[in-house]
Amino acid sequence: MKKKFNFAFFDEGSKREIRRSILKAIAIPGYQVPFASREMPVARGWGTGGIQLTLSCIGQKDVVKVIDQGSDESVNAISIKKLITDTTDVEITTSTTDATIIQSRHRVPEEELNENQIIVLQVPTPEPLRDYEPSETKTKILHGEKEYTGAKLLLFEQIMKYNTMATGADHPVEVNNRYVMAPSPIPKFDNPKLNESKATILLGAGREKKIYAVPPYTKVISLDFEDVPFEVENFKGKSCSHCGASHVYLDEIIDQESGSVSYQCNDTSYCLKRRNGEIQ
Amino acid sequence: MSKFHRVFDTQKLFRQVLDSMSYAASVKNVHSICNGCDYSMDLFKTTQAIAISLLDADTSYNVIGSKNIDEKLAMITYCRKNDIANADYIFIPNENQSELDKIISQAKIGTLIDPHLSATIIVECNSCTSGKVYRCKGPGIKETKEIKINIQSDWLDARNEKNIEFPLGVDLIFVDKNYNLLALPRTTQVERV
Repeated sequence: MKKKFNFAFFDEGSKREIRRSILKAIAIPGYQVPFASREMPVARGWGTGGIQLTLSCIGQKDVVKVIDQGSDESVNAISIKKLITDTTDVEITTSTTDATIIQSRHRVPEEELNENQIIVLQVPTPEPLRDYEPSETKTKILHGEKEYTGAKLLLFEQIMKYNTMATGADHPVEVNNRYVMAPSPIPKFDNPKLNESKATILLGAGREKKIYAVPPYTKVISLDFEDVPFEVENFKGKSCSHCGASHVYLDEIIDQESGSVSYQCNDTSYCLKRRNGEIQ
Repeated sequence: MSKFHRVFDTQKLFRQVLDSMSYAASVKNVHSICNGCDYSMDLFKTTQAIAISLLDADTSYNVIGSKNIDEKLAMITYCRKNDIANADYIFIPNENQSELDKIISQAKIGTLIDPHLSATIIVECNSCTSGKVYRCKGPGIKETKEIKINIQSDWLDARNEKNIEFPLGVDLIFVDKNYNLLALPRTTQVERV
């Protein structure tokens, strides 16, 4: 542990401010609380919002898991884990069920989360209306007036162009019948996991200086239309080439030489647990 | 000298407050965290610890009653005092608990554009584990949850009236002398049983 830093990197004043914002975010589910995003030893856009939330919440007894696009071992996940352990000395795990804080870049783990777990999602663009309205002042008014035609219009345009809602990720959701929220660029496959989640969901956008949250047991509905209902990605007939899982989010792997296509679990720790026989 | 650790104990207390706020209306016992927190203010140790954990020069506060608290709170946290209608955090000591309904109706609720600019009221009550029974529902609660609060104030009607237009409203944290705390965010719908 590098002693020259305060515990969890931040000075106490920074933690206090972020903690106050988290409490407000929980009290107003889906509302983006502005906060004074700190300069981090990681470039903005590499998860600084998520790291700030994790470091403000973390204590000596926490067990942390960090995932990047489903992987515990990619560069982003490793760098964040290094920063966390260097400044806190907490235990790191890859197991979803053992973690008390899970910081994730764009996936909700396959294993169901439990009460008293916190999942921290890294957010690049917290404003679901941004493509429709570039002005922050105006989007804040739209949220205040619950005027979400713009969010629906963006989806409607996709249906006009592609015959379907073509959001690959970050499909907007309505939280607690009030705020429309960007769920961070998780695949549509993960949107239903946010609904009535047992775990607390915190979302942090470092570059955009926003914190928002979804408390547990809160209604989260993906936006759709009566005649074009929301649908998750379809992996029918496909399964993981390593563990055989067929009900999970799969990555498509193309063999460069033969051109053949195979699939494997996107959530690497889930796949590993299945192969080790720890879960069915 | 207080034995409340400004780094580790504030973190532990924050997580308990966060849990009580996110699993709304859940009671958390913070005895092991707050029993060393004594800044010689006329407040429960839990209340003092919450103040130390959340307040600083960026925030404003108001305390109902005691002058002893008023001076010390500002001295220890550098927090600025503001009138009830504009304070971010309002502390109601045990002996003034009957004023809760009056304070709720005066506290700020934010604006539709900035609903986070609303007050959090920390109130000391006789008990958060016994007393009148209330039924709660809303985000953070699986179906419904029953809570018991013993306080000499008819606070419920004032709160219901204040929080009528979500996202506007005030958040409440009840604290008792047995180191229990119970948070009621504005989203929680509370009714008498």
